[in-house]
Amino acid sequence: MKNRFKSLVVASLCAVGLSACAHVAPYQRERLADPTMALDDMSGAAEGHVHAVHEGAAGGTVAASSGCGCN
Amino acid sequence: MRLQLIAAVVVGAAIVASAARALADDSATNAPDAPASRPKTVAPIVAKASLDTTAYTDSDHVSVVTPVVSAEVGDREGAWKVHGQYLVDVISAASVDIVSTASQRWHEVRQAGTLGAGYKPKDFGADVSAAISREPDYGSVAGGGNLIWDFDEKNVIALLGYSYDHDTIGRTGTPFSVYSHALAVHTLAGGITLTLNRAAVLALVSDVIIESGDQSKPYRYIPMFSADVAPTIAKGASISVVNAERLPDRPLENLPDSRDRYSLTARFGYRFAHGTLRADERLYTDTWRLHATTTELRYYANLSRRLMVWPLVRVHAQNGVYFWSRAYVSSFGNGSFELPEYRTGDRELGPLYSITGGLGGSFGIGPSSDPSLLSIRAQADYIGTEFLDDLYVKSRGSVLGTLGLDGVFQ
Repeated sequence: MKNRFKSLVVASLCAVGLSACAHVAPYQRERLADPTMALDDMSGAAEGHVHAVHEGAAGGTVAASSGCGCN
Repeated sequence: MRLQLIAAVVVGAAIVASAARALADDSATNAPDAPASRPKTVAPIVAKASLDTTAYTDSDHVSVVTPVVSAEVGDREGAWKVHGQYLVDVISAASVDIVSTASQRWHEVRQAGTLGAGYKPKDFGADVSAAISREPDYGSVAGGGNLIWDFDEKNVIALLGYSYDHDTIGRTGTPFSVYSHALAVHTLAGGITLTLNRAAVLALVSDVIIESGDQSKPYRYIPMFSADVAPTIAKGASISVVNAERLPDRPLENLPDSRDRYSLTARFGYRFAHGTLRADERLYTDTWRLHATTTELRYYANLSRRLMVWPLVRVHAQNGVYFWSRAYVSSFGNGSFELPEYRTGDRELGPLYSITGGLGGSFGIGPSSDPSLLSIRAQADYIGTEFLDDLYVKSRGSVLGTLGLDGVFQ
């Protein structure tokens, strides 16, 4: 029962997440193309190393950026 | 070090040359008798270079200075790029862990370099990278790559990545061939990036990190206590109290030989008219039963065409690994001390939380047509860490400051 509930929650979140997406054409991506919208790690090299040393967790350093849609 | 100096001089000279050219272009454009400007041809190739220096110091008497030089060359539309980075950590430490073993302040230099390339002409692309890091008692070689697919006019992007990291752990002053042990790390990453609307994007990334090998530190000695004394050792107990109460045996750290680590990260970005909100959340767990959450928020505010500032806050919280203990218990039997199989003094494996607050800013000093072509960047962070169940310290305050120069050449 607990697993079924978890599956239902995950499925609902996925459905809500996907339905929240709107199709954005390349010529509509002016805001998305701003360099600050690149979804890579926000920390610089030394800053990231400090966090890695200070925290027992790891991961989450890569992500594909949406960007300008020009290629 | 010589390589670093050469690289720094080359990148610095390139940035200064770019600045001079940018300012010359700017003054020519602004001259009252300047002829009507001709349309500029747009260079197909764009190069970027950065010079950074980061300084770190904390209340545990550790200080690090890190100069970083990085460069990237690629085509304007992002179909291909090559990039590289080189950094040096100059470390000076006299932390309580060092003092507690009656050792002197030590100094160490770590050098690390990364080279990478990416090619993505259309909807499908790949990037590869290789990294090497070296310090007197630790070496690391890593390589990996990512595959990236665009779907639905880049409204959905999928990512699949793999990297392998081979670390060699040794002792300062002893060649790796005489004493060392290896640690192998496989990382598999999979993610999806969704364009939510014209101003919002969300990325979900999952990482699986498989570590195998002995990663125990060969300098880390763990104090042991008798069963009746251990409960009396208070959080943050001083070196003198620990030395007075501990048993004579003081074994080295011993960690399990394998660790599987899992993380799920969500990254959200929303672009306002004059600013960007970035929010990251990472949930983490591993087979050492360490569970953690890390949240980071930044707001990049474009105050003018030249000035951007970004306040940031980062909160991290975790429990301790299953074999964590503030005061490990050892008993004497059969003529020797019976030790707990796994034992550690690594504070980052214990329960803790940290809060980082910071402020960064960049000021474009490039030509008025695009001030961001050359910019000065600075950031200062304060990291407050509370150790919830440790010997020697209960908290640590750290200050991290970065000063950088970024140039774009086209």
